[in-house]
Amino acid sequence: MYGEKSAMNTNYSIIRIQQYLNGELGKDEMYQLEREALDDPLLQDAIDGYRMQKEVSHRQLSLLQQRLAARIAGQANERNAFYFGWQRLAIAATACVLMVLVLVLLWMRNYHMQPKATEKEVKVELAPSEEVTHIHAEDVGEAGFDAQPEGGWNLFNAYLAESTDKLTVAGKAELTFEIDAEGKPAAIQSIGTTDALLLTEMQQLLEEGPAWKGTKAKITIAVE
Amino acid sequence: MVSDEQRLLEEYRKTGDLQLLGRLYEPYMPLVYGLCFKYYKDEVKSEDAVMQIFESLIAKLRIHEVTNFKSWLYTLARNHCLMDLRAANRINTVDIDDYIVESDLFLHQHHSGEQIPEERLALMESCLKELNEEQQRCIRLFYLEQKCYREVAELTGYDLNKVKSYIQNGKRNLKICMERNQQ
Repeated sequence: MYGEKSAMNTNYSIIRIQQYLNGELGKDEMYQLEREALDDPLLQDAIDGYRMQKEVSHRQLSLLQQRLAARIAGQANERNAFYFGWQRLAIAATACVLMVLVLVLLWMRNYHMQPKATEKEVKVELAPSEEVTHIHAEDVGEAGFDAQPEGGWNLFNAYLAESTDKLTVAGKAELTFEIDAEGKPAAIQSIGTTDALLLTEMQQLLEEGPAWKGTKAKITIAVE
Repeated sequence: MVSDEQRLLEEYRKTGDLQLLGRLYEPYMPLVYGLCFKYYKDEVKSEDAVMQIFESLIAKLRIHEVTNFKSWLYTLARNHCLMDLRAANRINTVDIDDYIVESDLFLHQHHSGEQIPEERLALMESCLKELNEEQQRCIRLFYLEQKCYREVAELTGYDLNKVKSYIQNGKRNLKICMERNQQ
């Protein structure tokens, strides 16, 4: 078979080439090599090349062999570097996946938590309006404010206590108002900041409530 | 039958282990070096080319399924040198005729071991007569009388290099003639 023989015996063939070029081969051997070369272009070109170089340098060839060996060893190192590179890459990829997973989990948790939070808020808002159980009013007792409920403070507070169902907000307010000709509270104002709803509800309570005597009043009302 | 070479080729293609490729390439390195020197006419460039060819083997032999490594390597190595020279614009320093002869031989090498039947010998005899005188004389001396190039040169008085090219071209012409007459 073509190529088989020379593949196995290349060392032998490079020596033959050398001997051939140095004229050290017998005529039959020379003929044999020439015959082989005619059917083997690689051998032919190699012979031509060595003839041009005018020598077969074994030192040069062994240096080439060393270069090849170094190349193979170098590739082994490079491979290791590649291997570590892959390892690093794998770690980095895993870290990325884990991070994304954690982020998704956090997001999902937030997403599920949010509706619960609003529910709770609503409950908190509703709770006091349903639970207004106690209301108490009293005179601040400041000079210049002489007005009193017509039936006295106890009666007035009894009226307030009966009206708790009209209140929706808890809180404490200090109010001033004047008593008109018919004994009704008028121009009811709060001192300091008071919840707008609380103020409205108190104004309503006072206007619909019992009559007052005197001219001006300054009272506190606490809703619990 | 699986030769050592085939086994190495196959294993390398599967594993990419450079040790295997080294074992495969090393025996051919002296020949590849000689070939490279023929084209480059420069020792350092030829040495580098031997290594560059190994580099291209690394990738190519992982992809291609090669059955005849030696002739495949020859084509690869020669193309490497020629392409490189062409890139360097020095292609004019090589003899084109040589390549035609050799590539022709290369294509027909598979027939080299065949048994030659009687009628083909007759055909060859008539084709031999069609060759020019120099080719005819050299072919007869070389193939029929089995003289080596130097003997042929001494007997004919031709230059040794001429003898070589007469034989190469004569062989090619003979083959063309015989194939033409056979059909």
